Amino acid sequence: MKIIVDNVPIECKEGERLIDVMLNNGVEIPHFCYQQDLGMDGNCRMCMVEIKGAKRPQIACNTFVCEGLEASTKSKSINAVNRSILELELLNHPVDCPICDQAGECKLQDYYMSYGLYDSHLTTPKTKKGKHIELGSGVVLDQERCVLCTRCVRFTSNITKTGELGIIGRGDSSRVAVACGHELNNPYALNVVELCPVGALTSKDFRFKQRVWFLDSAKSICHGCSRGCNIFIDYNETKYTKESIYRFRSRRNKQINKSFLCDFGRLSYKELNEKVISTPLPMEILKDLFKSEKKVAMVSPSMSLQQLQSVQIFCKNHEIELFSLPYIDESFGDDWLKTNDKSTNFAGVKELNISVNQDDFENSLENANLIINFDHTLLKEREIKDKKVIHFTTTNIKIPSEAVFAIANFAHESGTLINCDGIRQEFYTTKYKNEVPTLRELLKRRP
Amino acid sequence: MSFSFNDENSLKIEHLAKRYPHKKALLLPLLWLAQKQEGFISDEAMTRISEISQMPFMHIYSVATFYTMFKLQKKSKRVVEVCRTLSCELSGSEAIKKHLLENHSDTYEIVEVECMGACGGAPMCTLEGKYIENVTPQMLDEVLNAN
Repeated sequence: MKIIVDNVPIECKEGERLIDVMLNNGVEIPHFCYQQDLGMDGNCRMCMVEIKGAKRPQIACNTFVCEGLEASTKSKSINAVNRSILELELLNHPVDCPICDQAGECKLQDYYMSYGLYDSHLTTPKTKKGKHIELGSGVVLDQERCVLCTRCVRFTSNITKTGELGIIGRGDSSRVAVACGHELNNPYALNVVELCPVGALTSKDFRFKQRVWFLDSAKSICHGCSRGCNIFIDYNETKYTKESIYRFRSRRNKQINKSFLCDFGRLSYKELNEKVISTPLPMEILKDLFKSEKKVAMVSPSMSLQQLQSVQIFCKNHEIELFSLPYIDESFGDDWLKTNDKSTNFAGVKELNISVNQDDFENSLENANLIINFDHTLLKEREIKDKKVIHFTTTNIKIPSEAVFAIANFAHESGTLINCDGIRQEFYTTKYKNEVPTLRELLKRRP
Repeated sequence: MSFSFNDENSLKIEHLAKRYPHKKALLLPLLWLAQKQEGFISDEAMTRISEISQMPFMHIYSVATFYTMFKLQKKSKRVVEVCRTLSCELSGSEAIKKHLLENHSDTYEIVEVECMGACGGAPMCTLEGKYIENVTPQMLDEVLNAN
């Protein structure tokens, strides 16, 4: 089926929403309340389009495509409509972009630049509402910047079904709020910050840390659990500071996480900024150590397939017994995104036939003289007496060990992961130069 | 402190529930009954209503704040409502309001409201929901002082 948008024919399926067709084909359509994974609400009226044969402009989010539909988003008359609607949305807005954390990724700001550019018609003072209200779970609300699109309200009532947020009051004084004595409290709360198209909901963790236009994004995968939610890593390196990661954002994947992330995963970026303190060692020192008779190695099940393969080859070449145990946490999982298995690539471990038997591992550990740990959390915390331990690690190790090699974490690596449902996904590295080598680079240097 | 509807209201709720296909539709009548019973709608009442209507507390709260006739705070004074719509306005509600504000605002809360459907008795006002029609300032003094 074919429709025509701004004189360009677009291929689409019967029954699709016009706004989805536009968004999927890169047509710029202004919208606040519509979000592909929250569905239609139709309250913001920002996505008005002109449809040939229709008496008046229609909202694209509630229009379904049909054969021969001709829509226009750019004509003079529809521009005037968009402009008036935008003026209404902005009427009581404080226009405080210079101090607003959303600036640069704010739809209100973008649309003002493309449709607005007017002076306020308001002669009476603007309605004053609440500022920096802490809603809980690290979400901060500025009611004056809100356009009442109710994305956040719909998220808590339709998606998490916890219903903490709502609109109170009416008319000019209506505003988003939590009820008195209640707070926003669910393990997915920070999604409302990302859903908010304007600067009304900001994250306490990220606000005022960095202007968004300085940030680069790398396509990656969350390493919090085996779900493998798709993310963007937002990072930056300046003249005076080394590369650092500021936040994770969700990357839309209809199959896995839609547009959402759990708070645990979203905040797990902090571990990636940890600097491993170790003196760089030449691989040659392993030569003497490898002379010992019985060697056992443990590899983290969160490593990519490529890393696992190179570890496997390395162990084969040096006659080391290799194991990998999953990170199981029964209290972590839920019925949505979180899974009990907190290792990202355990399916990959099984695919490569790496031994995962705990009893076998304990037996081998008992008999071994030398233990090599490839970033497995279990061995980083467990002190093993009378045995030599070598760590390849992305985090600092507090227990005594024979040698510590710092390796780059997943933000500085590309690779493939297999998630709990067997979906194979790629993740990509950030663009600046690594301070420490990646595991694969290190293993290529022969001891 | 917990809230529960008294026997009379519980009976009414039972009766009302049969009218609607969903428990959700009971929301407005429940809020009305709660306000009638206590004079205002307390947090406890809203919690009870959210249990009955099977909706989140926040939803009850946002509906209650939307309608100006729902009071969420306990009233300290009794309420006199003065109509300001056309018929009453033409018959002198302005003067009545002024008189009330000057003489009775210490003991009564004076509220302006829109038409209450008693234009035949304009100007009119209410005391605690009871209609007083064809009011004059003298008549008001008598009624309010007597109550």
